[in-house]
Amino acid sequence: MATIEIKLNRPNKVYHEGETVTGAIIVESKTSLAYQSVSLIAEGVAALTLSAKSVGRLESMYNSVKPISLFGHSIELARQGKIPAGTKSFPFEIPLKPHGSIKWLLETYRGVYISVQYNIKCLLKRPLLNKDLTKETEIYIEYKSGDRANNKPIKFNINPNSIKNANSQAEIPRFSVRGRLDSSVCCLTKPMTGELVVEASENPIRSIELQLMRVETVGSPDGFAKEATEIQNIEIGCGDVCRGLSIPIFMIFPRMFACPTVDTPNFKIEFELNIVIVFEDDRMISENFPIKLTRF
Amino acid sequence: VQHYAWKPKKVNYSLDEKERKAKLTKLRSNEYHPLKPITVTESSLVKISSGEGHASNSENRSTKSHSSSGKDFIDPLSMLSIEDPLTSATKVTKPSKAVSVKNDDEIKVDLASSDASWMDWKLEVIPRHTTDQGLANSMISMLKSGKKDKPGRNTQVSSVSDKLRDRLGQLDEFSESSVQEMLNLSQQDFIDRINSLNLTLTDAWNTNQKVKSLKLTIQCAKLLVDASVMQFYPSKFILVTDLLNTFGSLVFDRIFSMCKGMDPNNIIPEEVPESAKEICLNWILKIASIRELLPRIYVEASIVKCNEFLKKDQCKSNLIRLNAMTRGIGNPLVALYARTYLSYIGMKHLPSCKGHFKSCFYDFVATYKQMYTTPIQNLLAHQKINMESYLSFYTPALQWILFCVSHNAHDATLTEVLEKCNTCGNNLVLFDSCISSFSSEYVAARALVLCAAVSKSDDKLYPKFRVLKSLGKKLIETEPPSGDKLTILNETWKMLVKIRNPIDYINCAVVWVEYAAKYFTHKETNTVLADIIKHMTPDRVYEKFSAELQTVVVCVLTHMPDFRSIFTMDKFLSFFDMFQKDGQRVTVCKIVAEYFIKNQDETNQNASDATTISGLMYICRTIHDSINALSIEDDITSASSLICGVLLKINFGKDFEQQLSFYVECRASFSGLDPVCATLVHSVNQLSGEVTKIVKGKHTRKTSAFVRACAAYSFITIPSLLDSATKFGLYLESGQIALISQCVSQSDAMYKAGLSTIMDLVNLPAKPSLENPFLSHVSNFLSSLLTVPDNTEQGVLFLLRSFLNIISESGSQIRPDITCAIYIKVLSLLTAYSQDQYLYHVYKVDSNEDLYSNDPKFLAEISQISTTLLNEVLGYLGSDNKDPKLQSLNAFYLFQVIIAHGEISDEKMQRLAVVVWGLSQQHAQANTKATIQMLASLKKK
Repeated sequence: MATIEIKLNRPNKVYHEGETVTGAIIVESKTSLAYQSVSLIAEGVAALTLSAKSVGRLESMYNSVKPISLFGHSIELARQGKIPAGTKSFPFEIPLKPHGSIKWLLETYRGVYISVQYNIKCLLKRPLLNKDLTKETEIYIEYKSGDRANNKPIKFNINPNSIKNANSQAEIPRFSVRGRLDSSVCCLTKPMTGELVVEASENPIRSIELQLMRVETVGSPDGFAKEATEIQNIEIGCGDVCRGLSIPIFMIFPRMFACPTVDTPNFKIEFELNIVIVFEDDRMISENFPIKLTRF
Repeated sequence: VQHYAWKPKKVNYSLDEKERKAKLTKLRSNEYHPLKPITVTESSLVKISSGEGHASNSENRSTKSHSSSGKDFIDPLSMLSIEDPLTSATKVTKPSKAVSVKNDDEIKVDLASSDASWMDWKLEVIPRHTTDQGLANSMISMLKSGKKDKPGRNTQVSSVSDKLRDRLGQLDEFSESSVQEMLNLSQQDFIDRINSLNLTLTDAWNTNQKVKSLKLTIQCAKLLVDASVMQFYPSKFILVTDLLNTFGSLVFDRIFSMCKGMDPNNIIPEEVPESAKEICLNWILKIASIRELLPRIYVEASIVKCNEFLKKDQCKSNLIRLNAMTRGIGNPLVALYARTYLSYIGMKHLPSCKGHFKSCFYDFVATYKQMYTTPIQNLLAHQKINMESYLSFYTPALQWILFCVSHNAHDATLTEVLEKCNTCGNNLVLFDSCISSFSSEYVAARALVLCAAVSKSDDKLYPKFRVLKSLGKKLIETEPPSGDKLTILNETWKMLVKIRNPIDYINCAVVWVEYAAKYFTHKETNTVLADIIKHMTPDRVYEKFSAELQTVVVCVLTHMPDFRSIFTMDKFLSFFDMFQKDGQRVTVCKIVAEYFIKNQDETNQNASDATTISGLMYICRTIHDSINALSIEDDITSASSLICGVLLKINFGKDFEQQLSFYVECRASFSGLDPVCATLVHSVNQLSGEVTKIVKGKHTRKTSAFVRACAAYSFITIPSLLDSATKFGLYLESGQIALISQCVSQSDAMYKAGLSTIMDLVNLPAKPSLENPFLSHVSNFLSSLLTVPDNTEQGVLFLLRSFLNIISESGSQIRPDITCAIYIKVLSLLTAYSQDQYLYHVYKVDSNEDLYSNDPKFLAEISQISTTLLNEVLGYLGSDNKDPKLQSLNAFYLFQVIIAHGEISDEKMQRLAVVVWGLSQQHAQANTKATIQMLASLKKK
């Protein structure tokens, strides 16, 4: 039985535009192994889906938007040969350059309706009746340069008066929460910080949560489909927290599920932060903050 | 068998002195037989007379023997009582324990292993916080709350399909199923369950199921969210944190194993390989995405050290951040324990960084007011927990945090913390924790201020006595400034007096009695004891607290070295009235007696004043009275050894009459215990000897009356004893002492009485390899007979003859070989009798040689007796039907006696010697080595 593997020289598999991916294909076999060719295909694709909500279920099934190819590269590493028993490696190099019309390589991102992925796929073709060996691995692209995060704190006050879309103003219990986000333009690699003080609350609180949302917009001939979904939910307060005590807001952005805010003609990836306060009686109050994510 | 006559050899002891000395030096060790029972006085006499050879200077000798009997008077019984093997064993083990404890302390100080103090802390907490209430409750409520949460979260519908989501979903499922399993668990089941989870965790890790082990850890950390069974929370915390620690070290070790050759205490992030950093970052990101706050804090804390792989000092900043995050925990108890874990982690990994400990505490102080809010009060009312016990769930955690704060801290820090405590209301629990955690030096220096603060405090919720108890404990460790001591005691006692609940009162009083006893005189301690009695007496509450009251007694004994002052306190003995059950009172009395003996041993003093003695007598009497016919052997032994020990320590110095009357009183009180009576006789004999020594042998009327009284005392006391060997030994000893004290007739009486008991000794069990006990008693008796002058009314050598009569009349009671050996011994004695000057004398007492001054009649009498005996012996040696070995041994012995004491120049004696030699060799059983030695010494002559 023979195995094939792609070994990259960078253990974290993070690359930037303009760099060269180096590594080797390693074939291990207990017996000698004949092959017709060893080839490698690298490609980067932004896959877009339309949400069932915005365009009806049927349409979303087959009327999906064509994926956008961002990057492609293929090489043949060897032709017709034989590998003696043991391990054989085929080193390779792939320069990371965007396709002609694409201005730059987007960051790797995995969302619900949009995903940007870069894959390296290798193929060892073998003579008739033998199964070909394939292996696929993903590399992560990050921006080399881009917008910088700033340090402009945003202060907020949440109280019954600040709530806009309540069912009926009268039923809202009295409470007052104030706080501050250290910035609304945040660097992905740094945690989101700030603080929050429950000054008063008539009803006991069950929990205070930070909800990181992605807002994906996919353009289609019929218009734009915009969807907001949750990426992660982090509790910063549990139980009836002490009044007047400043509770830190702290959240680390998840890798891959968040990327610098993207705005292209065909699709947009944006992010929002919700501060959610849940009361013992299941009532919930949520305050929304649009945020911009940057790599730096 | 031929008829032989005994011819004694005449010896001039003084002339022979030098010669004898040269020869005897070798033999001395043989002559002084250390194992001869109850004959220490006697053997020392022999030793001195033969070894030092003061035969001619009898005056000198007798005083010497006095002094030796006075000073080195070690009688085996009292020795036994002093060095009871059990007590000595405990004595040995106690210090070693103390040493080990000390070592622990040192380890505690040594910060490298903060784990040791953590262990200590854990051991303290676990047994205190248990519950028999089922934990099922808690689990159910946890499940419910978990479900309730969901609608809240799911408002925004998300069709999540990514991997992480999957995992988190699994995690939820997983935890819920396990939690369901945990339904209806008792406390023990819970502990077992956690332990098995701990194993599963390690297993999963080792089989490369890293995600599973993380899930397990998170699930366990989630258990800490639920604090509904508060009694168990501290223990639960410890169980769970143990698991977290395992997890933390697993993660750390794995990443660390990838950085080769690095010091775990000094990780250089620049040198950490990329792959290791990647793994580390993965772990951290994974944990950072845990949705719930509390598990996130705990799990992050458990791997906080891994941050060091990424960036220098990252660990510290993370700890500070985690600390801040604990503010988001609503339940103050849960939050406090989370802080405790953070301080532990800080102590373990970053002992040098102090700041976060303080912020831990300050954060708690900030949330402190929360405890008095309605929701929590409602909860308590619902669970039927009062505020006091609720607060007691906080104290262990608070103490740990404050221990971390105060560890190697400046006084300024501590003062700052204390002031902070002062600023909030109902602060007694804070004070208590501060006092018990801060260094005793610090507390002692500010004891008065603290005391005042406590007394001012109007905290109705936390009992004052706990604070006072902690304060007392610290003050016992370190002495407060001398000026404040009394004020502190007064202030404290004012508060103590107000405590109504006897349990609380006595718990606290135990500590403060120790304080009083340690730093004050008997006066203050007495007052304190009086107050305790006053508090404990109503409704006979003392019955429930005998253990505590016993501790009080021990405290007083430990800290008051002077027994005089202990017994001066009139409340000390009235204290004993509170031990109503007999067993208890005796136990306490025994403790007192033990302390007394130990104490007197250490200080080398003897008690003599009346109060002490009457107190001790009370104690001893109580011990004595506890012994009855049904008591077991061990109890009797320990009781008598304690009483003997105490009695030997009581000494009136020069007031001999009082001493004697004391002994009389003792005899009356302790008649039930034989060893005590024996000790009393020994003591009285010693007393008499001492008096004789002081008057240098010249008794006045008064002293001679006294020594006679002593003799009478012994004479009366001895018959009450049961053990015949002791009895005989005491008769002999008393006889010797009476003779030394020049009470000839008393001594006669003693010997006579001794003779009347001698037959009881025949069947003493013989120990292998030792001389027959009967024989050794007899030889002891015979050698002391030499000094005893004949009673003119009773005829020549009355005592010896009555002894011989007893022996010969005993018939088959005595083995024939023993009879033979006795006769041979008597032969030696008779030889000694026939000398012009005896080997030893008693000062101021004329022995037979002076009485008869070689009267031919006397000599003829001796010669007649000896001849008779010799023929008896020869008759025995000649007969056939005896054990040949014993026969030849005796023959050899006789031969030795003939050579040593017989007049060898006489022809008949020579012939006799030859015959006896033949007898000794005929069975070829004699000890060859001894024979050769014998022949060699003969040749020398």
